[in-house]
Amino acid sequence: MSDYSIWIVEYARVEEYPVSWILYGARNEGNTVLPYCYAVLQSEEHLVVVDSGFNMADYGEVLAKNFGVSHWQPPTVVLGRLGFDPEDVDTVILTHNHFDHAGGVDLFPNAHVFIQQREISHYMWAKGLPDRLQFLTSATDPDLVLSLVQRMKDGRLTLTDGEAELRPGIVAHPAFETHTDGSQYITVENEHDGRWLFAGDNMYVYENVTGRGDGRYVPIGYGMGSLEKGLLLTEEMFTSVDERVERMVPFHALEMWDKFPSQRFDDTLHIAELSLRPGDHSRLTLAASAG
Amino acid sequence: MSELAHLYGRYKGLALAVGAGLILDGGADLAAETLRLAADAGRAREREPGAAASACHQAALDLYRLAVATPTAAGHAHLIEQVRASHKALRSHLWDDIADQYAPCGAHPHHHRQEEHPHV
Repeated sequence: MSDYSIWIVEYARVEEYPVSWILYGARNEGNTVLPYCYAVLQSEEHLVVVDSGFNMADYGEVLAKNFGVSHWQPPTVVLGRLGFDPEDVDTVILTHNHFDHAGGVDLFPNAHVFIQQREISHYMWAKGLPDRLQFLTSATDPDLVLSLVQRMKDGRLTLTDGEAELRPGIVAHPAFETHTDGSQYITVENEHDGRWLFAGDNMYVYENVTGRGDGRYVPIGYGMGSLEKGLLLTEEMFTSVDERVERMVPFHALEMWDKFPSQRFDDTLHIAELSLRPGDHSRLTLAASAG
Repeated sequence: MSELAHLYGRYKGLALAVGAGLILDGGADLAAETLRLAADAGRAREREPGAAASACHQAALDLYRLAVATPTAAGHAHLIEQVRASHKALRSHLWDDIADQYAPCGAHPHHHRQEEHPHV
């Protein structure tokens, strides 16, 4: 068993995001604020991020202009608030290969990267499709795959094939044909406080699991795979944490900042502190002084 | 859709496949398809010269070179860098044309602003 301290860091935000892309069937409900986050996990041996954000150096202006993505901060700033250096991150685990989750791999230059093989092999299948099926590769950037080629040549890329323990206590679980073809969700088994689950984009917000007042799952509003498989995956994830939804961690949920001890910074971005391993200290105190 | 956007759609699919091929099995046989794309991009540039058309042609040529290169050859890593660089140059010409290629989680550009509901 291992113990990890766990934080969720907000690195950017979409000020106006259609609710219908978050909650299936939520038509005519306008827009909401969508935070962009990834997870930071620290044990005695490892400094891990689950997903990597994206690199504003290339995307920034167009995203801000066209989609309202704002407040972006690089890992040097976001992890710096926790007292970490991105160069010390030894492990990057990608839940899927959409740019806002996988587009920041280059920003963690010394990390070993893990992604499901199926997420990559899917592109071999997709290349033969006619142009009218371009939507199947939306939110995906060829540059991300090329960055993974470079990581592979350096011997720092592992393609997982289904369930696999990536680091002590950190397990990847396949979530195939759901949000993307080769998605995965990640669990962390902490000796001191049990299981945490990182759902990737198979759970945008808590309402996807808790329902809209009726306790019934609401599918995500944007998925390339099967609605049925997405719902059954939600059941699998929910039961695997003993139906404790607070142990399921979404990366696009505003509620994070209320559910857990959190810090709001001058740039309006947040950090939530989910778990502290025995002997570790709260970084929110450090964060407060960092402003 | 503009010819450039159409060419980029083909480029994107092939670039994803070339990269995936290199990761999965050391390379995939995409020489013919990438060469066809480079030729089509060259003809498009001749018809309508300009910076965007030139960037498209260059990116397609670089992708072809990567597709036919031997992964273990010296300079292969540099070739990948070249492909990444020419792709970024091409992409910068396309932001306004087909920006939804990179929609965050697939969100459409919000040209039509709706009534705001600040919380889900």
